[in-house]
Amino acid sequence: MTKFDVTVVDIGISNIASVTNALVELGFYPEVADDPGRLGECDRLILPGNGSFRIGSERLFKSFWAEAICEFAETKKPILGICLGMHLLATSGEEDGYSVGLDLIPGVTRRIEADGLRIPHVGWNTVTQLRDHFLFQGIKQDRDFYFSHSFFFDIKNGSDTLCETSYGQTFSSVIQLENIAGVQFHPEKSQKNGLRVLDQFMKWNF
Amino acid sequence: MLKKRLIPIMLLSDGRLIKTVNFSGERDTGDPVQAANVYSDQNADELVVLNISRRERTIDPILKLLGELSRNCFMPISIGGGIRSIQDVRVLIKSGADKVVVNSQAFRNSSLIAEIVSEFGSQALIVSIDCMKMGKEWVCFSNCGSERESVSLSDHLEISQNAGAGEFLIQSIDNDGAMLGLDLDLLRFVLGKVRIPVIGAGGIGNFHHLLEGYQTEGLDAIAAASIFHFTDSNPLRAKASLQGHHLNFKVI
Repeated sequence: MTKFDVTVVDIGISNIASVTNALVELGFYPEVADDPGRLGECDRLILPGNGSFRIGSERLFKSFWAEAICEFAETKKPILGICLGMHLLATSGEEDGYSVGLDLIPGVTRRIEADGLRIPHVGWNTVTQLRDHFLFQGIKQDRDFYFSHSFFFDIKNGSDTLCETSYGQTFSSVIQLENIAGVQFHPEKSQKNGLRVLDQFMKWNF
Repeated sequence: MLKKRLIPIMLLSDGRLIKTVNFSGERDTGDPVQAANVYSDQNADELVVLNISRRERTIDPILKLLGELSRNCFMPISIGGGIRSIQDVRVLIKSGADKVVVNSQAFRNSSLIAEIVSEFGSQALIVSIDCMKMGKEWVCFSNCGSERESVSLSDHLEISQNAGAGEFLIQSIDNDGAMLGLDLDLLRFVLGKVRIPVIGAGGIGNFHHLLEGYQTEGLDAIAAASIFHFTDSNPLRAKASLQGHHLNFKVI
């Protein structure tokens, strides 16, 4: 049996093919898991996401995903949340009413307040690296990545922010706490630098 | 800073890439997969793919293609044409679409718009509106420009925005394929009415047209097809030619 390099969590509202195609392009063997019972055997986890925090939260908490992901996090193996997947790492979210998150990185997801700017924040925007980190090794300062979101991760501890981006306000575009990381942009859709971030994640051992 | 987007638009009919003039007179412009690969190599900012085949108004033709596009293009892909239900949207997003483009159903199926937004978020939905100037007003058309809608453009924009649309793709039927420039009056009208991002389309024929578009207050994204199909231009050259005009494009 092939040993998979990474498990991509499918809670039914994600752009699964985009993420797995990017991983395959990089030479990895991704596994898509639609059942939380399988997480015990995997080496690293990607939580992708398109969609609303409320629905994401419901799917995680109604079908034992939340427990399985939090147990996985305890093993100190790497986890990467992408966009909504990043938001779901938070303590709670304010999208479509109040919902609870996985609380793996303290913070709350809130609506972007950008006076006079159009929401959602859609397109390529600058990612400024605040400190050196393995996930961004080989990527130059202030490169553009593709964003598509109306909510942002309002981080509780500033030290958990790796990179920030501005759109009306400045928000965390990459966060990391121990073995848990989250990216607000879509690395799988951000051409060579996005693929580079995924490649670094695949080689990252906390 | 958010960058200006230049978005190649690919129209499909019966599995081929085609281009129209004023929404008719289809010309075959090649193989969609090859074209998408070229756009990907040129680091296009995003790709919009619309199935405008009048024979088969389902998502099936585009779904076949999407698998291949998604394996080769690591940029955002928006898919439209024949979307009728939330199940269609689920299948498309799972298969590699990042956003879906809804046009005709936005006029008659407001619950579909609400369902898409509730499940996938506003950022996953582009409402596309095809407009034709009649007298002093722009009139909305659906079904690939074949059916005149009675709702005013102004009302349709408001209804769609309130329902949660994430972006508008505004196409001028009059300017489509004419390569004489965007309908800037139409775009200014729309930009003044709405608070979500607007993609302007229809009429780009040279780099100056792009410049006029990007200099229009509030317009951050332009979609184009003919200029890439019928001239020796491509997204990289277009951006290079606009250097020196203080427009910000992505740096990767």
